[in-house]
Amino acid sequence: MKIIAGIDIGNATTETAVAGTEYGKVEFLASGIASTTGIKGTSDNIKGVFNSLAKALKAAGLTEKDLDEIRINEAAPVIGDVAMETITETIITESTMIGHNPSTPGGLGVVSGITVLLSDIAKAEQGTAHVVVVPDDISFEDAADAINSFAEMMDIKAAIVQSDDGVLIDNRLNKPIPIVDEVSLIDKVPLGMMCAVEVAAPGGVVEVLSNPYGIATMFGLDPEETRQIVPIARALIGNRSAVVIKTPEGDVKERRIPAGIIEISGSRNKVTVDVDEGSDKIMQAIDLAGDMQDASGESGTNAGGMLDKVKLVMAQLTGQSIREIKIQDILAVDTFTPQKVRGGLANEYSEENAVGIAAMVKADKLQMEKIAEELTEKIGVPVKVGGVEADMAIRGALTTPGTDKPLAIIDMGAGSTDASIITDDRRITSIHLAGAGNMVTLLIKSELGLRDFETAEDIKKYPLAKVESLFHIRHEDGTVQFFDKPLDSKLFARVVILKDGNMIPLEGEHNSIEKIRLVRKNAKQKVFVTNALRALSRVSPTGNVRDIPFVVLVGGSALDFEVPQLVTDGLSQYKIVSGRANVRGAEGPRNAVATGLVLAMSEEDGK
Amino acid sequence: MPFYKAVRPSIKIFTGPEADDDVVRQLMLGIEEEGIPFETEKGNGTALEMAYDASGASTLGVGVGVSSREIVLHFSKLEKDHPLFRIGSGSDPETVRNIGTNGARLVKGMPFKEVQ
Repeated sequence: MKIIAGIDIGNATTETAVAGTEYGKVEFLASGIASTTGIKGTSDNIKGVFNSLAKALKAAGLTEKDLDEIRINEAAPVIGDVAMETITETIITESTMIGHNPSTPGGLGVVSGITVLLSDIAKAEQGTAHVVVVPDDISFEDAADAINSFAEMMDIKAAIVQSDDGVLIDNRLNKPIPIVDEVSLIDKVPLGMMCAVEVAAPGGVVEVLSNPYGIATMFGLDPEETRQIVPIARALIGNRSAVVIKTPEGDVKERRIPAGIIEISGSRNKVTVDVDEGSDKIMQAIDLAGDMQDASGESGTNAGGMLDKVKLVMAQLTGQSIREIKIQDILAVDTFTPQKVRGGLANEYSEENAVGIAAMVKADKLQMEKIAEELTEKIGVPVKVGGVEADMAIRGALTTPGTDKPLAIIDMGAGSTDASIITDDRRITSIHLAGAGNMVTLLIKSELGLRDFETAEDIKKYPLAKVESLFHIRHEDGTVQFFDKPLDSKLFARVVILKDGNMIPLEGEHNSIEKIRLVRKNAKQKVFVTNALRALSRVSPTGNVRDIPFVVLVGGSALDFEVPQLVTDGLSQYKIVSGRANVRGAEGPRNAVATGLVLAMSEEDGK
Repeated sequence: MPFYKAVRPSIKIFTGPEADDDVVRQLMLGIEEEGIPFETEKGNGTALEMAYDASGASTLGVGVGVSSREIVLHFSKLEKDHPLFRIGSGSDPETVRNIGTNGARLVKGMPFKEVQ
């Protein structure tokens, strides 16, 4: 009996299958998995290969000396990259608007008056309604005293306060007024101007100032002016407290940022599309172009820079010149991102529109032969590069119980989504699409306004919980878990990521567990379900997704706790049986390529 | 006469004989801004002991102990020797106020302000 090993070097993991074979019959002995070392397709991978192989051999009770032959995969030379461009921006000129959610504003109601510094209230005109502005050099006690003592003489309608003292002032007033606090840049509030203040009850949101006609009523605006204040009303939606000040020049503008033009050369047409037009237009342009031969961005723009970067990485990886590297696919997705409002007074954020783009490039060949040679030398066993990766993956995937030809596999990795199909007459077709795990991470990062990629990656991979007391958490599905020892006070009342038995707290109180969960699911849907359909319609012999009866999911993303369900759900509408692979009835979505390599070897052996 | 007394839910602050009035005032302001009722009482012993006793006496289970040396925030369900927050009484007013805020936030179920 010959002892053989199939080794699959992937982007993230290196997987091994060890088997004994005789007369074309094969008996799988063990599997191994280790992290891939270095970038896939470079000699750095060898260390990971050794680790993975050693694990499998140990599990089988064998050593390297027992091996007769090794096969490594002919890796698909595909890499993907992602980028995001914000395409709108909100700018406040002359400080006309304050809309934010201080955790504890004071008072209640909607009122208007002329802005005046509290220290100047004695000099203000009697009989006119006023809104007092309180910088933080005035203590809450002095502020309350002043407002109380002038209440008889002056008509003080509301207060705008710099420090977090809204409730403290409110509790000391004889006659309560609405108070908006935590306005950090209070010295920029224009004085002597007409101003409207609204504070909603706990649990409520501003209703008058978030309505264009509400603002028009407060300020007596004409139809043309009302048209102009729509961005203000829009920006105030969902806030518990708000201030709008009418100044002669003041304005809130929503501006579109030019992100650049992408030019797509396809088999049918050459098409150009403006990135600011959004993802639908970009995807339409891609369809119009036909099979993509290359894409480039207008130089000097963000779109151009991004596409050039992908090409450069690929050129370095393969030792080809950057001119030879062609972009083969683009996935564009509409997204949004919270951005700090320019000219804001209280760190206001506004949800701006953005477009996320994933690009995929293909080179001639990775240097797998070189890896095989080096490996042969080091290990003293013949190592060959065997078969196209997609073919091997299909062979491996077909060992999933309950599958049959024709069968399509979708391999969702980090950088690209790959799909292959095997027909009844054993013909195999495969394609590679842009957009996979990294794209999901990018969308999560931008939509939640997270600072680092790592946190977004963790949100993508692990379930959430809310720490409800020092002794218990509530999981995102509603189940409660108690602890004997008190939890760290840094976790209290926070949303946490449950990663390998640890709890990682998320910063920012505005991201509720429901919102994070929704963003996460939508991101996975926008990328994986869209790409599953795109991939299947391209490999389907008829071009119709419905003509593929069986689909199995392999690769890293198939291990995700919700992606397989989302895809299964999305594809069930087309009457397709789809689900996570279970290679050899035991390995789950892992080891498909390694298993395929062993099967191919033993078949040749039997001939 | 009823043999029970309806107790108003509140955070208890126990202050030792040499507790600084200004420290106690900052604690109270922190709690007030968050809108939670509180009561102060004279206490005895270390700040830790007073905080632990205060949390036991509070219907909300949240107590603060103030001595001339320390300010301790305690929760009745914690072990005595493991209070929630513990700072020196010489800390700056903002930090002291944050201890009050955090006591209230423990009741409200809101993330704590950072305390060095």
